[in-house]
Amino acid sequence: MPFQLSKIQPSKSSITPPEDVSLNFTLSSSVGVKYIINYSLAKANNLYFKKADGTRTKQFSYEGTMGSAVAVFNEDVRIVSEGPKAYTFFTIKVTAKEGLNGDIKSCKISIS
Amino acid sequence: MKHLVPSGGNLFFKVFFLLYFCHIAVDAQVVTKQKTVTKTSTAVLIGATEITLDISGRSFSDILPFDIPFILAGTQGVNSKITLDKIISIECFYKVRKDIKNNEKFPDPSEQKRYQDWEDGRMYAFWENNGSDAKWRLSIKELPPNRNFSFFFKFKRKLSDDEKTKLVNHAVKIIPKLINQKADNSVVSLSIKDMDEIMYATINQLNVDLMGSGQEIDEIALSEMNRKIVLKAMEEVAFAFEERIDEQESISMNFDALKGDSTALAKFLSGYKTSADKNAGNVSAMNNVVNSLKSIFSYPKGENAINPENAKNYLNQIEYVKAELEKAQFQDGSPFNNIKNTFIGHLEDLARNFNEYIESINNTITITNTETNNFITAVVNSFEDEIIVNSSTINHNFVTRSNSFITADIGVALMPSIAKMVPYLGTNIYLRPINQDRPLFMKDLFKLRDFDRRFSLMLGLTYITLKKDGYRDDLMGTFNLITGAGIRIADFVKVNGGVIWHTRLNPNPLNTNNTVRGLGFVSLSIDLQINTVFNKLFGANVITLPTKP
Repeated sequence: MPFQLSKIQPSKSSITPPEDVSLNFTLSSSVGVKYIINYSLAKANNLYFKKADGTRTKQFSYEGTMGSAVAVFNEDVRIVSEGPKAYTFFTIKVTAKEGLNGDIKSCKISIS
Repeated sequence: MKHLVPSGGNLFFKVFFLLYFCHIAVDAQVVTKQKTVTKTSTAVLIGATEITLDISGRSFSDILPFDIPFILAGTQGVNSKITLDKIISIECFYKVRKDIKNNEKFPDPSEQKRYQDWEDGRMYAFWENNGSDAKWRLSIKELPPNRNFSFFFKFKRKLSDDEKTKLVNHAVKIIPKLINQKADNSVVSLSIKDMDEIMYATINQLNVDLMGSGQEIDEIALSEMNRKIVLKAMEEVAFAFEERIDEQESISMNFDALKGDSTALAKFLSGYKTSADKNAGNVSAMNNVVNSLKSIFSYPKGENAINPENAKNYLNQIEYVKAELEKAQFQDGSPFNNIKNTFIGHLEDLARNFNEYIESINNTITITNTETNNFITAVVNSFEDEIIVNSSTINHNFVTRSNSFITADIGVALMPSIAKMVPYLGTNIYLRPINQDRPLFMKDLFKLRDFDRRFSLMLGLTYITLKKDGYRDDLMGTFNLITGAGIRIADFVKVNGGVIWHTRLNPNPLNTNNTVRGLGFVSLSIDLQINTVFNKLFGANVITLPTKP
């Protein structure tokens, strides 16, 4: 019963917040396995996800069930920043969990 | 009673000096002040005076020569341990210190506009190491006399491959430690400020380690381009750390899952041991699994956790537990089969996690080494040392200084009014210091900038008697005083004009009240310092300093 995240591939290697970026990755497991996917940004930086309702958050998650052995994700996220440019790069961490088991991967995006 | 009455004079003298001063006046009107800096490598002057830069004393080996180009030379960088082969290039800006008043400080090299301050309108020299020079040499343009100067040197230098390797080995230990300190527990998030702090902390730590080695790094000199390279290097290292942390967290989650599996297994085993369905092989395998779980749940922490060998050993433990689990066989429908499959699934996930973890450890090491090398290369390319050396073209020794103002020559004076020629020994008094090593060119004869190097007042004594019985007598014994002014028309040839003073005897033989009279003259003279040339040409002592008439 594998439970494995692939590398996260961002659609852009460099962005200027506020800007959208698409995160592409796959989750391998067994059909019917329930999972939780969590997206997070570092607490310490001044970057946030902007949700559809306009609010800002450091993380968001949702649940799903594996319909096939490999689930493909294309998650569009909008990155916004508070204050002046203080970082040259940031990472988005994706955590997939199935019960106690889980897998974590990060991707790096430069700030231009 | 004596009367001072100059008489005579001559047309040639008057015409020559009239024409000369007319040309000078015209030249003065067309001279414009030029102040430019040409940043090209200056050709080394062959045979020029060489002044050595004393690194430790921040001084030159001698007073600076004036009016002639000269060479500043040395064999070391600003630190005696920096040898010539490590110097890439030297830039030198120099200027007169007239702008420095009282306690006003010299421009501080740490100030942002330090170069501009020195580059604007200052004189410039440049030397680049071509690998074949025995010492560095800067050709310095001619300096005016009686001035103080400041020389601002910028030494660009490099490290040898060995020194660079040592520096990388230092930095490889320092940088990850500093990134760890700055990083969040779970997520690496480094601000520009954090990275700047890491960069400067690294450089400072390197400087502490390198203190006294002559390889200290001037972090101020980091160019913007190199700073970007350094920040990029730290970014790559930080992300490699983050990926390793991800794998550690994935492992941590699988640990939790395995602990759940372990609890389920223990529960099954307690029931299984009491059942009649015992199988010696299964019991042995189960016991091995349970015993091995202790080592699985106690993976090293801290520095040991990121040791690839420890991780490989741990991976072997996982494979062993998995193999032991697979040995245990139960009939279909046994609750053990579900526990076993889940357990093996989690072990496989953990094994995969550990393989990725080992890869991330190696990746972190590789990236840290590569990027630290980039970091150090960027820093090393910014090695620049700066020193200011003050010096002067003023000679503070009275006797030596007088040599720059006074010269002696020997000449022949023509007195048209009495149709006589007399040799004389003259002393020339210049109105400014002159450097006789500076060649004079005929084309510059009428140039204003050359006037004070050529013009001098003259005082001397005629060398033979002008005595004429009953009419004229010598002023001092057999000497007569000669006064005037002259222009050097070539290096050692002067044209002079003036008056030869003698005693005019009273025509009345009973009256001893004579007068002092002057006879106008023009003369050609040669500098006495070239007497050796004549001596070599014509044999010994053709020209000697007169002792007695």
